[in-house]
Amino acid sequence: MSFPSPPALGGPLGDALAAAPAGATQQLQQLAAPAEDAAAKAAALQSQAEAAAGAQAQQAIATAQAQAAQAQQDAQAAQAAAQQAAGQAQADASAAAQQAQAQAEQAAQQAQAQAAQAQQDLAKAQAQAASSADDAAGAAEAATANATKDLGNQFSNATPTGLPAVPCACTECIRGAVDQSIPAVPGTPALPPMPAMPDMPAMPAMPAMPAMPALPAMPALPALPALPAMPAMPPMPAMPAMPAMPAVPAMPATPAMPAMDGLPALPALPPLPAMPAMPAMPAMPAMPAMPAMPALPATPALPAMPALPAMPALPAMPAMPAVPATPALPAMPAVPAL
Amino acid sequence: MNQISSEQWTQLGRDSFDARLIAIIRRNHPDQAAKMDFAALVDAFHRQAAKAKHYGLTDEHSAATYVYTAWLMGDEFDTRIPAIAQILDDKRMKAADKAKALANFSRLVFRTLSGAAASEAA
Repeated sequence: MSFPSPPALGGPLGDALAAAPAGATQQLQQLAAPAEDAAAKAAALQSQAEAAAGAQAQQAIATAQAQAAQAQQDAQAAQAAAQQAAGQAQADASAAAQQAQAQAEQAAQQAQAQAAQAQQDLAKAQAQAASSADDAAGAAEAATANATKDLGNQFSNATPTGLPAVPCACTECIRGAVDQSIPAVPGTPALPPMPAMPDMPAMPAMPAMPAMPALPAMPALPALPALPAMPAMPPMPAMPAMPAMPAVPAMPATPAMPAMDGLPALPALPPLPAMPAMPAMPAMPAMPAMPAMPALPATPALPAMPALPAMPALPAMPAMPAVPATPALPAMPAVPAL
Repeated sequence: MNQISSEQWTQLGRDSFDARLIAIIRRNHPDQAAKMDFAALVDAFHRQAAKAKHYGLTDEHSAATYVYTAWLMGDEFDTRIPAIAQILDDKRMKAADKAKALANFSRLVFRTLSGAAASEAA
C-alpha cells in the first residue's frame, strides 16, 4: 500500500508515516486489505474501532494507576526518611540535625500531597474512561476523532451537498463553524476600497428665461366655397313588367260521399206500468169568514188645473243647396283570369 | 425584491461547505493547517466532493467525511486503499455506513501509526 502526500491533501498521513514504528506496516496492510464484501469490511472496522476505544480507556486507567502507585511509594519513602531524620535529631540535638529534620518533614508532606494528587488523577481517569472512551492516545488519532465529532455536529446527513447552511434559531451554529480569519471565497481577492467621491461643484444659477413674444393674431379663416349644386338624379328606369301569373289548374271534382247506411230501427219500448191511483186529497177545511173592512174616508176633490199658454209658431226651414254631380269613376282594369 | 441566481446559490453552498470544513481542520490540526495553501485546498475540496457524489455520498455529512478523509489520506485514497475502494464501490451500502467506515478507517490508521496498537499487542 502506498500513501501519497501531495501538497494539498495527505499531509497528516505523511507526517504520521514519518514517525511510525517499525511494526506498523504489517498492521496497516491488514487494515487496508479488503474482506469478503464491503459490509463485512465495514463491520470489521467498526468492531476494531470500538475495541481500540475500549483499549484506550483501559490504558488510561492503567497509566493513572501506575502513577498513583509510584506517588504512594514516593510518599512512603519520604515518610520513612522523615522518621529517620527525626530519630537522628533526637539523638543529636545540634542545629544541623534539627534543620535536617525540618527538611525531611517538609519532603514527607510534599510526598503525601503528591500521593493524594495521584489518587485524584486516578479517579478522574476512571471517570473519563467510563463516560467517554473516545479519548485518543496519539495526537493525530485524537485530532481525527475530534474532527469526526465536529463533522457530525456541523454537517447534516439530511441536507444535500451544495446547499448553504441555514442557521437555526440560536444563530450560534454557523458563527461557531465559520472561522472569520478565512476569506469567504478563498482565492478571490478583496476589492480595494472605493476612493472618496469629490464634492460636486455648485451648479450655476440658471439664467432667466426670455419673455415669450406675443402670439400673432390668428388670420381669419377663408370663406368656405359654396358647395356645387347637386346634379339632378336621373330618372329611375321603369320596372320591368311582372310576368303574368300562370293559370291555376282547376281543382278536380270531389268524389261523391258514399251513402250512409240507414240507422237500425229502435225497438219498441215496453209499455209503462200503470201508475197507482193517487189517494184522495182530504177536504180543505172552510176558511173562517174575514171580518168586514172599515169604510174608507171620502177622497177630497182635486182642484182644477190652470190653462197652458199657447206655443209660438216655428220659423220656416231654409232650402237645402243642390249636391254637385259626382264625377264618373275610371274604368277598372280587367282582372286577369285565374 | 432581491433575488439571487442559481449560480450564486450554488456558490453560497460551496462557500459554506468549504468554510465549515476548513474551520474543523484548523481547529483539530493546527500544525498542518498553518502550512496549508487555501486556494489549492479549496480546489482539491471541490474535486473530492465531486468524487464523493460519484460514490453516492450525496448528503453533506457524508461528503464532508469523504473530503476530510481525502485530506488525511491523500488524493487517490479511494483507489489506492483496497478496503476503502471495496466499501465505496458497493452500491448496496448506504451513504451513512460508508461515511462511518471511512471515519473508523482513518482513526485506526492513525492509531496504528501512533504505536498504540503495537503496544496493546505487546
